[in-house]
Amino acid sequence: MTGSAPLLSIRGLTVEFRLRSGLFSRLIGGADVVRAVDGIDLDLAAGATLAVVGESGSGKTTTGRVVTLQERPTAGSVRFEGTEVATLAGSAAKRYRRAVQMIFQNPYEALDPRLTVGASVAEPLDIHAMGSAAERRERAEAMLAAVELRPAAAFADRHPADLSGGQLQRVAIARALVMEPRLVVADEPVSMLDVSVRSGVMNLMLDLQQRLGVTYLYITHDLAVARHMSSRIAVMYLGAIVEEGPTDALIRRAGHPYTRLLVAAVPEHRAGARRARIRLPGDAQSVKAIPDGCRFHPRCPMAAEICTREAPPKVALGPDRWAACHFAGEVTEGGIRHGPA
Amino acid sequence: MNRARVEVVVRHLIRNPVTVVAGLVVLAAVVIAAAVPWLALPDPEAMDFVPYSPPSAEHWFGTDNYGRDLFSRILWGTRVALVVAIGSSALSTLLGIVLGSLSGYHGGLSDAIMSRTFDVFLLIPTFFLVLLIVALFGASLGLTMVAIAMTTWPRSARIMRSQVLTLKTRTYVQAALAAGASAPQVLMRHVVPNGLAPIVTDGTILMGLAILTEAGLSFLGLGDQNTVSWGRMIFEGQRHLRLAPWMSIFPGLSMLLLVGALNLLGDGLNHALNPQLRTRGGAPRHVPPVPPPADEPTVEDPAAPMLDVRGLRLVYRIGRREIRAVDGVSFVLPRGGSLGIVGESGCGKSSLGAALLQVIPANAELTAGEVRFGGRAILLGGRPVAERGRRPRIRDLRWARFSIIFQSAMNALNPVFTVRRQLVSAYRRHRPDATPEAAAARVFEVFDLIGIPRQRIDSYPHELSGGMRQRVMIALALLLEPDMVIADEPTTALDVLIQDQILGEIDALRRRLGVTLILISHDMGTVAETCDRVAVMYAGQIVEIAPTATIFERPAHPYTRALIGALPSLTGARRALASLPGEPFVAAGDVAGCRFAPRCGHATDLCRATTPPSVAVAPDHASLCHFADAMVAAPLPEATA
Repeated sequence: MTGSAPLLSIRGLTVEFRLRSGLFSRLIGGADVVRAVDGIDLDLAAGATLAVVGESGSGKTTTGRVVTLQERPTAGSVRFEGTEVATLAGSAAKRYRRAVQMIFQNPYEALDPRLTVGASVAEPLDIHAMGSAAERRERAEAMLAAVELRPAAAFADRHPADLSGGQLQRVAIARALVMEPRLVVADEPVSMLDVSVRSGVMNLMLDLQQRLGVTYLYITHDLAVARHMSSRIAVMYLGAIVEEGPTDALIRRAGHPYTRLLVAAVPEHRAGARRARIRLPGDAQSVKAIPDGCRFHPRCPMAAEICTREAPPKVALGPDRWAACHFAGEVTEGGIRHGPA
Repeated sequence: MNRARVEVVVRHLIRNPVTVVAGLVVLAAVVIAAAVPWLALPDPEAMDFVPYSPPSAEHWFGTDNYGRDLFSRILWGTRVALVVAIGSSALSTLLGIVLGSLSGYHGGLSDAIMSRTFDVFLLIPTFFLVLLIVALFGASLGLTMVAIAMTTWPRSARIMRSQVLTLKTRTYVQAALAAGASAPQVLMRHVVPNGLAPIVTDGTILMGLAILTEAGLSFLGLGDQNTVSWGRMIFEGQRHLRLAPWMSIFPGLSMLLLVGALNLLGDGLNHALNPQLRTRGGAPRHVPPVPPPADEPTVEDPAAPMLDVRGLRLVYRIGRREIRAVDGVSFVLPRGGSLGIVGESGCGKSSLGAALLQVIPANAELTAGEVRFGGRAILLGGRPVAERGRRPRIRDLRWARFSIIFQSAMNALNPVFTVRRQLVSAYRRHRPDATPEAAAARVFEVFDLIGIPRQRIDSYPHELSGGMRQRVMIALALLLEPDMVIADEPTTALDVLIQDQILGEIDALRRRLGVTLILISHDMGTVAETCDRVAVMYAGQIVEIAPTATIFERPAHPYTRALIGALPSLTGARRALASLPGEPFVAAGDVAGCRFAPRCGHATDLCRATTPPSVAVAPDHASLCHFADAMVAAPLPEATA
C-alpha cells in the first residue's frame, strides 16, 4: 500500500459460527464451532477495487458481511477511516451503514416483489429519513438514470416481476449507491447473470466508480471477472488469505500453488487448446475440519512433509505482494513443480 | 401485492367454477347475515300454536317443537355462524401472525421456546380446552370465539413462522438490514406482508373449523343459550328426530353448505396464490407412436451418423400462449463426435436435450421433427417411433445406449438410498440377468474409470462432496456402456477447480470409450476445450454451427461475436467488454425477420423483414444471418492472444 491511510483496514479478523443444533444440545452446551474466517488482514485504498477471490466455503462472503455489519466478528478489528466499526451499535452503526453498502448475488430476490422499483431504490433514504418524499423520489430516479434504466420515471413505477435479471441487478446497484456510500461490498454481483448481460453490469460498475469515486470490495469466484474489475486481488482458501497482490502480477506470476491452479482452471476461450490438467490429489476440504499445517496441503500437488506440520509464513514476493506458502519463491519463479518435494 | 399480480390471481380464481360457486355461497351468507334484521321474517323466537308443522308455503322449512319458523331461525343462525367464524379466525390469525413472525424472525432460543409452545398447544385436544374455558367462564358467544381461537392459533403461528424463516433470508430483507433498517421496520415492511398469502388462505379453512366447533359446543348444550345458532338447532332437533326430522336436517344442510364453501374457497385461493400448484403436476401426455419408415434398414448401419436431427420443434403451452422453446433445430452428429451446445438462459438448450431423449415436461409437446439414432428413426413428425405392437424405440435406447448427466446431482440421486443400491438397481433394471455381485463389479469398474474411491459405494448422496456426487452421476450415465451421452451443464454448480477436473474427466472418458457426446453449457469456455463442434443457440434456433476452432476464430453470426466479446479474458489484453442491449427473444408462434435483429448492431431493414437463411460460409460452417459472409471476414474485437 502506498503512503495514505487505507479506507478500510482489517486485522486478525476471525468469525466463528456455531453449527445449527437443537434446543437440547444448546442447553447442555458443546455445539460444534466452525471457523469461517480465520485471522485475515486486508487493506483497501480509497477509490480502488480489491477483489476477494475464492471458492465456496472460503470465507469471502462472510468477510463482506462483517464489513457491512451483517455479521459480527469473533475476534479482530475492522477499521473504517481509522475508526473501529466491528463493535458499533445503535445510531453509530446506522451512521456507518450510510457509508458502506452492499450489492448481493441474487438479483431475482434482491427486490421486494410488492414494492415498485422506485420505492426499493428510495428505501435506504427512507430508513435514514433523508430529505422529503419528493426529494427521495427525485434522487431515486436520478440514480435509476445513472444505472442506465431510462426513462427513469417509467422504470420507477414498475414492479420487479416486469424486469429482467440484468435490469434487476441494475436496480440493486442503484439502491446501493443512492446514499452515495464511500465503500460498496459487491458479493458476486454478476455470477447469476447471462454472459451478454454480465458484461454490461461490470462496465456500469466500473463507469460509476470513475464518476463517483466509490471504493469496491469485489467478492467473486471468477478470476477473469476479478481481473477485469480490480487493481488488487486477495485469494482466500478455507477462511484464510493465501495470497495477495496487484492483479496482473498475481495472475501472471502467482506464488501460491492454489492461485496457480485457479489460474490454470480458467478455460481459455480458444480453439481446441487443450490444457494439460493437473490431477489434484484430493477434493475440496470443509471448514468444519481445517487441515493442520498448510490448509491447502491435502489438495496440493507440491505438498511436502513440512506442509503437513507447519503453517506457512507470509512470504513477501515484492513490495506489496505475498503468498502463504513454504515454496512461494519457487512457485512464483517456476510454477507448480509436479510431485512432492 | 401489486395490481398485475392481483389481476393474475383474480383471473385464476374466476377460471375455476368450483371456486366461483363457493365464493358466491360465502358471499350470499355474508349478505344474508348483514341483512337479516331488515328482512320481513317472522321473529325467530316467536312461538306459534302449531308446533311440528312440516315445510309448507307458509313455513318454508317447517316449524320446531315450539312452533318457531325454522327458515327465519336458519337465516338468523347464519349471522351467528359468520360472527363466530370471522371473530375466531381473525383472532387466531392475528395471534399467529404476531407470535409466528417473532419466533421465526428472531430465531435462537426464543424461537426454540416459542415453537415448542406452539407444538404443546397443538397437542391439547381442542374440545377439552374449549370445554374447560366454557366450564370456567360460562357460555357466551364472545367466550366461545376466544376458546376456539385458543386452539387454532398455533396453526397460523406455525405457517407464519415457516414463511418468515424463508423470507428473512431473501436478499431484499438482507439489503434493508444492511442499509440500516431496524428489525421491526424490516418485519413490518418486507417480511409480514410477503408472508400473508398462505395465512389468509388458511384463514378461510379456519372459519369452517370454527363454525363446526361452535356447533359442536352448542350441540353439547354449552353454547350461548341466548343466540340462535345452527348447532343449538340441531341439538334441539335431535330429540324430535322422528317426529320432525326437518328440525335437524335444514340447519345441518346449511352448515354443510357454508363450511364446504369456505373450504373450497380456501383451496381455490391457495391454488390461485401459489403458481407452483398450477404449473406442476400432471402426467406427460401420451402421444401415439408411429411405425418406422418402410425403407429403413432392419439393423443399425454402423456408417450412419449417431444422431441425425431434422426440424425438431418443442412448444410449451402456458395458458393460451404457445412458446417455441426449440424451433426447427437440425444437426448431424457423427459416431464418436462431440457437439457443444451453448446459449444463454431461455435459449432452449436444455429443452433440446430433453426433446432428443423424449423426456419432456407435461406442459410441453414435440410438434415437429425427425430424430434418427444410428440411422434408425426414433422420432418422426414429432411422434415417437415404434414397431407395430411394441414399445417406442426410445424407451429401449434411453439410459442403456443414450444416457444423460444432469446438472444437479443432488436432485438426480435419491437421498434415502446408498449409491450402491441406486447404481446396482439401475444396472439390473436393464440387465435383469445380472446378479447383484456382477452389477456391483460393473459399478466398481466404472468407479475406477472415473476415479471414485471404491469405498464410496456405500455412502449416501449427502455424505459425498459436490464433485464426488457429480462423478457418481457420470458413473450412472456410463454404467450401461452407452453409445451416446448428453451432459446438461454437468459442472455448473461446482467450484472452479472441481469443475475443471470433471470436465477433464468427461473429455478423457469420451476419447477412451468412443462415446458420442453432446455437452450443453452456458459457458463458451467449457465447451471450447471439450467439443469438436459448437452450436450456438438463440431463441430456440441454432444460429451458428461450426468446428470449435472456427467458432472462436471466425464467428459468422453477430450473436456469437457478442458472446465472445463479452467474456473477460485472463491472459489477453484488458479491454472494454461488449454488452448486448435489450432482452432475449421469445418465439411465440411464427416469426418474421431475424430473431436477433432487435439486439443486433448490424441489423438492417432486410433483417427485420425477412427470416435469414442458413448461410454456409464454409462446408462445415453454417450461420443464420443475412450477412454471414461479411461477418466471417470482419476482425474480432480482440486478436486471439
